[in-house]
Amino acid sequence: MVKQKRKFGFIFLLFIIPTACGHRFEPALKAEVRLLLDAVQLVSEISRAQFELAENANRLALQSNLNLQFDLGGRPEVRYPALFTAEDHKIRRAIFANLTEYSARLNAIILKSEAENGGLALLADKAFSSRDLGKLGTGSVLSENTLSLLGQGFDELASYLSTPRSDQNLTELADGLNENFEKVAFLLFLDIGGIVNQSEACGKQQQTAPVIPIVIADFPECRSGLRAVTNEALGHVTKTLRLRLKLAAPKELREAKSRPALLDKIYQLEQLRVTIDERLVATRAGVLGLAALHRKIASHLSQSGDPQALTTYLKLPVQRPIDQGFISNLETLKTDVQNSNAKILSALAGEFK
Amino acid sequence: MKLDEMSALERLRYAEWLLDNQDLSDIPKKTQLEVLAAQQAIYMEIQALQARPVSMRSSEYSTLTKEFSESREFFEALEGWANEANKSGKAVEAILKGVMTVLTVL
Repeated sequence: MVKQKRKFGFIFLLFIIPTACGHRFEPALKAEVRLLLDAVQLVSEISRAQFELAENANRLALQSNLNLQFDLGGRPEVRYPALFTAEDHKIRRAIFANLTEYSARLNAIILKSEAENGGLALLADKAFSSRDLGKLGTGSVLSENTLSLLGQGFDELASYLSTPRSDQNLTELADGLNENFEKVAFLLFLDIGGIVNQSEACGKQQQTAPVIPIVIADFPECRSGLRAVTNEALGHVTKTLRLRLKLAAPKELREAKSRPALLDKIYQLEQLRVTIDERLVATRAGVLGLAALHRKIASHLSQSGDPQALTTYLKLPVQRPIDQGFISNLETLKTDVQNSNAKILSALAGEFK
Repeated sequence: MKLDEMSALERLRYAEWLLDNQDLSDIPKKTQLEVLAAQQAIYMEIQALQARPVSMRSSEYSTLTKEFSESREFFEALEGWANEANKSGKAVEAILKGVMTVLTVL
């Protein structure tokens, strides 16, 4: 019943807001909302590919060890525990569905074109709320208080997407939602995280809540996430391949035709480990770029036009200009991540080149 | 740092390091296989710690995957072998230490 109401409200909102807003929007703002929609969709696809890549790297790690055990005459039990649950993936798809829906709607309002809101119906029932937050693998040391604040952000974003607010003007809406948009970006940032730092400060994983607004540029690198698990997986693969060389009989080492291929595989996987991490860092920067772009849009929409008057959640590092070049970089990043994933898949199939 | 001051993750890392630095080439094949399986079990647990959804970071460090908790018997068997090998003067101290470190987590 509630869901039906929400859906109904959502459809209602689509018709009301464009007519309720009598703004004349600047060309710069129109360009920005177009960029936002493109960027959200690209970051969504990249993030999905990065999760897939992490799972495949984990499979490769487990498989390399199992292969060596079998080759040494063992009969190990074959187990492939996944890194993330189906629910983890579903929640992230829902977050991106919300962001896409929100950006598409903003686009439709500002460009005053119903034709621009493609894909909305597809996403209508995927609103994300704070109830799902506890299931997030954020890899963070967030206190319950911070999690609860983030949760409020999701609730507000979800409620914007699902309840009619015909009397609300767009300016207030974009300003109010900016903080929530930044909270979502922060969680996506944490998903990628850093490679686990063994330094004492990070090793203890103290329960300190970050100061809000969060200075994201100085955020400690010890939060685990996609970077940590992917790096760990590929490290396990190369370690096992090296062990394979060590355990080979001397005769085997002299005569093995496969040895050059194995040595090359170790080298290539080490290179891949570095490039995959660089791309995860680039994805993290892309997420922050999304937040910066949304902040720019919200500040254009704000009546004062003063960016300082906006409600923000993050202290973002200095950004390069977010323009078409930002989109082109994300497109390249998407292709690069897909290529890395293809390499891992070919290694899984024993055809690494 | 003393073992009892380490978090579960630090103990696993320490055990991993000890096993990784053991020369496996001159130990029985059966033990080589057991060490490989131990490395795999430790890897899976470390990954579970790093990937598991974390709403409460404090409880994360006591997380044991099903696979890892089921591996206790196997680590105990490996410990038995390493104890015997040590008595006969074989240099398997790193394996023994690594296995005992894991057992403090389990």
